[in-house]
Amino acid sequence: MRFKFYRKARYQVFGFILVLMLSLSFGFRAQGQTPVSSAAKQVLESYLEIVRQEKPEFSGFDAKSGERFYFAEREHSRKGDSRSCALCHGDDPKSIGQHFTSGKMIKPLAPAANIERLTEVKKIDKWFRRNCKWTLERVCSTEEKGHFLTFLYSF
Amino acid sequence: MKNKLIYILLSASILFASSVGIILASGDDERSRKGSWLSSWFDDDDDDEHGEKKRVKNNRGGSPVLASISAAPPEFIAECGSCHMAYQPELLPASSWGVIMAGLDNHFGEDATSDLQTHQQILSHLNRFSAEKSTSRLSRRTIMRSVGNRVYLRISDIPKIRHEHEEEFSKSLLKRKSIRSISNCEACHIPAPQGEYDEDYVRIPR
Ligand code: HEC
Ligand code: HEC
Ligand code: HEC
Repeated sequence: MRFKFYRKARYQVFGFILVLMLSLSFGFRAQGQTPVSSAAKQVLESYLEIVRQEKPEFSGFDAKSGERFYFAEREHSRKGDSRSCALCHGDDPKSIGQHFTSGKMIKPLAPAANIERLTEVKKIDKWFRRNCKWTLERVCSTEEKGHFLTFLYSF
Repeated sequence: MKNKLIYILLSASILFASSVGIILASGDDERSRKGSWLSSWFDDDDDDEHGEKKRVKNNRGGSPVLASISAAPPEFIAECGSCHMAYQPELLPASSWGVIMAGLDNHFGEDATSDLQTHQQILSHLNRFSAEKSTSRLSRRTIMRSVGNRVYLRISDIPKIRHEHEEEFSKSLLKRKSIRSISNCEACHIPAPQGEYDEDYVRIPR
């Protein structure tokens, strides 16, 4: 009788621990929805200010537009190949990408998968400059950049 | 008495479970840097990009892993190692590095420019360890004997290096997604980022 009780209790406690572990860990993970880094916050605020100067009615950046921009393909005027941000950063910004020319692996772009991302204003500016030039043969507009960063934070 | 025991067990389990929750959550923050053991359960393929953990041995010819490795400034790795592996200075003579560094605004179709201070730091690192100054077998025997008076912009264009890879070109291995380019040294030379190019360590990926 005594023995039986302990066995039952043991299973209950065991189950309890499991349920708690699962719920707590999921709870913490969900709660930990990647916080926007101070660098990205700074960049996004300044972008918003710039866009609002031209379009006072602008309602803010949205991930959907950023997603469209991320996948938009464009033909290069001289090389004739089709280029997009996804070409190197991959169809899923949360997973590893690959440099289209050199074949090198590129760490995930979404801060949810790589917290080193978007943590340095200079670095964000530099890669926008480089990658917009390579992909689109022009600079990206402030609005495009704002949507893009918002998309990266939507994971 | 029985009840007391159960209460103790219960509170212990709550403590344990919440600490596990916290560890999991904070593991999230660290995983891209260190890949903590707990969060690595949830990670599939995070840190084997550089093959850093793979074995590295000095090659038998007596030349150690290239001398520039331990002296590489972080700016060099960050700048020249972002689009491709950071090719070691020992792989080209200073004349080549000078031309490459002067043309970073159109570097194989990319804009690879950086601010002046970083640029200077990289240039002096490349010059300090360039092929003609290196005592490594790779620099002396393979590279310097092969370049002559020509200034190569690609290591992979140096005749002897080209020759080593003839088979790779002829089999058009470069079409494989895992390789993609002969410039992707580390795809086949796993310890390339550590300066080890010996054929003993070559493994052609599928
Ligand atoms: C030819 C390949 C390539 C393409 C195409 C490309 N990128 Fe990148 N991008 C890179 C590489 C390489 C890095 C740096 C990777 C690293 O630091 O590990 C990078 C980094 C970035 C970063 C920096 C993130 C940080 O760490 O702060 C941003 C932002 C970015 N890219 C935006 C874009 C956008 C926008 C596009 C499309 C217009 C694009 N990229 C297309 C190769 C590419
Ligand atoms: C924005 C991306 C980018 C950056 C940053 C960059 N490179 Fe490159 N580099 C390339 C591309 C693209 C190639 C051509 C790769 C190919 O053909 O597969 C290349 C090729 C090279 C090659 C020839 C490789 C071979 O095949 O032998 C050398 C050498 C080189 N880069 C040096 C450097 C140095 C030094 C730096 C730092 C100052 C640097 N790169 C930074 C994109 C970049
Ligand atoms: C497609 C796979 C592949 C890539 C990419 C590649 N190599 Fe190689 N490399 C080989 C193979 C295979 C050999 C061995 C050839 C042999 O057995 O003779 C080799 C041999 C060499 C050797 C001679 C080694 C010795 O022990 O004699 C050097 C040096 C070298 N590679 C440098 C490079 C450099 C630098 C790069 C990048 C710019 C590179 N390789 C990219 C496959 C590759």
